[in-house]
Amino acid sequence: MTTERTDEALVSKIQQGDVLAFEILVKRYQRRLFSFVFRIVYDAHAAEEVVQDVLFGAYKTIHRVDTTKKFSSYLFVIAKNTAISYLRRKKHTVSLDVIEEQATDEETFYENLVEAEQKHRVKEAMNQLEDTYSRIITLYYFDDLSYEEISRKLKLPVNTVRTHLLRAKKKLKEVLI
Amino acid sequence: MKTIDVTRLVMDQVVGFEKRRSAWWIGKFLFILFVLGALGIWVFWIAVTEIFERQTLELLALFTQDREIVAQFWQDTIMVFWEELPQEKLAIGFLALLGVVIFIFINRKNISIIWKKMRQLAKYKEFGNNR
Repeated sequence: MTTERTDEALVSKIQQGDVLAFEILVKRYQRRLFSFVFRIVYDAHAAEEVVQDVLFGAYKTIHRVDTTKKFSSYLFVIAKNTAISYLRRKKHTVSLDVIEEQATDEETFYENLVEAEQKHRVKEAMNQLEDTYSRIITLYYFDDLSYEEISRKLKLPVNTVRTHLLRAKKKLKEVLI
Repeated sequence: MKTIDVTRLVMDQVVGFEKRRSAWWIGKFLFILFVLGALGIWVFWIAVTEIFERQTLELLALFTQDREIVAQFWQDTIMVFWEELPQEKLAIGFLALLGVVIFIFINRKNISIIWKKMRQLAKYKEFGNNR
């Protein structure tokens, strides 16, 4: 079936004149492109327009696509550039409401980024702890288990879990600072 | 996350674009073919008219004579015949017609691609609304 064909095989078919094979690529990528573009433009309607432009733009230059390389990478590069161009075009006409909305979204984005960065640092620091301590921290902070659940899982008394966690936190603090 | 379906919109754009691009290519191809072909035929026509006006072909009547006469005069006759031919015009006409053949040959792949595209566009137009 045509739908099971790889992107590169489809691109090759399109280059040979099979215009309608592009429909399969459109169906295959539109949602992924939409969520990708949405994360850049933060506006569903604009993202939809950009996705249309991206797909149409990709078709217009499809005869230049190297079928030995990944088509998806090519598509996402176009998507990124088109989305950025869209933002540049809209820069001077954007309303205050949108700016406010975008600012909030950006704040959330940066908060998430900082959180991810912190988690990464903590995980690296945990590698320097003893196995029991790092395990307890993982179960408590990353897997959100209670003392009782950890106690059952590690077959340790609840109080020992508490003590271990306390010591683990102290050691972790030392490593992080 | 909102889901979208832009397939129809994109394919309409693609088909419209492809129609324009194919029409432009066919127009360009036919124009070059017509110009080369017309040039070749026109120059050939002038050369042939000239040949008939000069009655150059009548020189070849020598070859209907007796064997001894042919053996004696064939080289001179051929030389005069060659001299009397409008060589530049024949060369230009020949090159133009050769150009037509070469032009078709180098575009044979594009011709098959365009042909395929046209069938696909017709298919889209026919079944597009019921897809």
